[in-house]
Amino acid sequence: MEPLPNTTQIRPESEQISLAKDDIRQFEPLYDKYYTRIFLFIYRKMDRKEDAADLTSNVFLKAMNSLHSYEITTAPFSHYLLVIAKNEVAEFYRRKGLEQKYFANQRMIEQIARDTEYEPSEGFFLIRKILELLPPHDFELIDLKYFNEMSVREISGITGLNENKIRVRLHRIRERIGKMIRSKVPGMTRYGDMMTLTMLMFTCIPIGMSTVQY
Amino acid sequence: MKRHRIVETDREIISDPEILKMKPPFADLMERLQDLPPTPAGRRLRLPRYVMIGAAALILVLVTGYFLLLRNKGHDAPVDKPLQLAEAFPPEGIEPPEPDMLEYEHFVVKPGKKAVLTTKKGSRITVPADAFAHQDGSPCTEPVDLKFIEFHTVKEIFLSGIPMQYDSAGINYTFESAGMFDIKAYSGSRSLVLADGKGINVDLVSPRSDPFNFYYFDTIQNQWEYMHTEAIASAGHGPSAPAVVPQKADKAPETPLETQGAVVVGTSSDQVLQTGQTKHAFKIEFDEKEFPELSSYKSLWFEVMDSAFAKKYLRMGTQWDSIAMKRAAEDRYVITLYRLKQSITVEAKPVDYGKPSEEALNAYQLVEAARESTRNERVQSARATRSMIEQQEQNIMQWAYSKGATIYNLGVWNWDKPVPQPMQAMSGTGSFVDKSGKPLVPKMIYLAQKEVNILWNYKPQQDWKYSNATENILWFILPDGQYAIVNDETLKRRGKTLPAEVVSKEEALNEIGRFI
Repeated sequence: MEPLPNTTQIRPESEQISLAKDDIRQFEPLYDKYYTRIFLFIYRKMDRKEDAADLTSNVFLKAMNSLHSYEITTAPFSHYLLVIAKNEVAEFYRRKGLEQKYFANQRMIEQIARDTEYEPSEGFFLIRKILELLPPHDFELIDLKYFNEMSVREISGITGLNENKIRVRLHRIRERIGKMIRSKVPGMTRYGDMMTLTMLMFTCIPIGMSTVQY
Repeated sequence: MKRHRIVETDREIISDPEILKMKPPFADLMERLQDLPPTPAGRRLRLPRYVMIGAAALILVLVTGYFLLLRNKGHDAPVDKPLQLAEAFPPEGIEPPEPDMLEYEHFVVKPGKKAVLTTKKGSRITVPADAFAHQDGSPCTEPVDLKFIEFHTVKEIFLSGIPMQYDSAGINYTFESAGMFDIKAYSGSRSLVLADGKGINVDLVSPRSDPFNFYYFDTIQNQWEYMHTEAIASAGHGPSAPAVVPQKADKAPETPLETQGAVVVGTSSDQVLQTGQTKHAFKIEFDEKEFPELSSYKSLWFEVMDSAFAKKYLRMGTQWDSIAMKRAAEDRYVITLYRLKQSITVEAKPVDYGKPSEEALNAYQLVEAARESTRNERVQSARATRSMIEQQEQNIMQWAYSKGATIYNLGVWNWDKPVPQPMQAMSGTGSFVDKSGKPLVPKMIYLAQKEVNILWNYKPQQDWKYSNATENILWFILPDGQYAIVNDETLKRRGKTLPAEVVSKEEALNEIGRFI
């Protein structure tokens, strides 16, 4: 009996893509399947829902327009869409000349804190600031892993890095974040950020002066 | 430090219904698509400018170097320096030349418990508890079917179809292997990954004690990724090493999927029949009490969703040890067929076919009759090959060393040293012909040397090299499935034509195995 192929999983999605390559109207099930996912991926990087919706439509339009050159593999179609989405967001910010934004929730930051073995209640604000300082290629992995809650395999599909490398890099990034917290990130004080210290200064100095007895 | 982005945390959650309210109808997208200019066929490569300039400069250097080297071609003096050109282009991805001959060992790993498994060749696999996860990252809490195969000899490496070329800084090397393995895990039909933070330790038997590099084959990029170099010589491994009996799937389980809700429905597939040009369907007997929703069908067939899969793996008249069936959705059933150590799982939908057409039945029966006529021959040659493999496995059990590593990914891993070209490399000359002088055109040339565990492979339009320092064997596969073998004497004669002996696959593999 012949041995099993590399995967015995039946993939109706590949069939759907094949059909869509011949008749683009067959793309609709893929559009329905992935719309919410792509929207949320983009929305986490956008101020306005309307911009996110526009970019999401652009992603699917581009996917449909270049579907003839898409190679069907064992990777889910979502990887392809997410790569287009990533590029669309970057292009959006480039055109506008704005600093790119990311929206995370408290739970995500707390998870990063736990993974860097730092007490979430102490380091919440600090970690947020550190994330703003991370180099782009490091932050990309944090964004995909923590903000978008993707598996290592999905991250591999989007970034093209192999899974082992991703695991090693995530480990190093977490270590670096931990070190930055513990060694007092440049420009930050032990008790918080410069803003807090400045506020303290502006509050304490007048109080102190008022108590000086001439 | 420079701020690269803004990270904010106070944002309202948006619900799915809200998202769907913003979703334009598909018809709108279709309209907008009409206005877009079509993208050119093939991938559009977008790279930063400096990368493109650098790539152009590199190509210019390579082309200049290639032409300079061409002037030196034809000298008979052996070439000792490694060449700067990629002469042996790897095949794309893993393509076993004879997939029938790859036999994975199967182990069943229960969740929640560490497992220490020993392969037939004596390699040891240590799996920590709860090591596996589904593709979405959720832990796998079902028993896992672990599949493992190891490749030690050039013949095994050839049969694996795994490319052995490695590119480092623009220079193409071929691996000298101290052992290679492929490890996969499944839960039913679903392939699994290793859970975050979990690693499997593999101690692979090896004849080499000297340090080797460890590589992983990235199946997305189709290239090897260097992991690390062995720090010390390999540990000894011998008959005294503890051998824990693994939980192997020696026979098909009696109730294979009952814990997952599937029902064992029968012990043979009644008919597997092609019913049309693109559809494949089969019948199985089952108790209607288990699936009352199917009792209304007059003539119930299960139509397989993936016709290519069905064509390859479902054959009329095959006897299965057991069959399990489970309803996956309203009109979808997952059917697993078990035979000895192997199983296949198909997703099928029930259809009411009535009788299959006479035409389809006749066409299929003709194909099966032709296959049946060569059956005895195939069985005999498979038996001969199997006994040789068993002998080889016994030899391997004697090997004194093992190479150990912890892996965090399933897939193909290899202990290797990259080698730029054969020892005292000589450029191959001449075109291949059979005994009658008829030209033979290979798709891929394979070459090996005595007592060196390297499989060289070359595309025919490239310069291929053999070793002047030792005995060589060269072979390639012909379109009809036969093999052409060129012996060392013929290679070194360096004639305009290279007569090859055309033999059957079995003879060729025996010859290659004996030579190496």
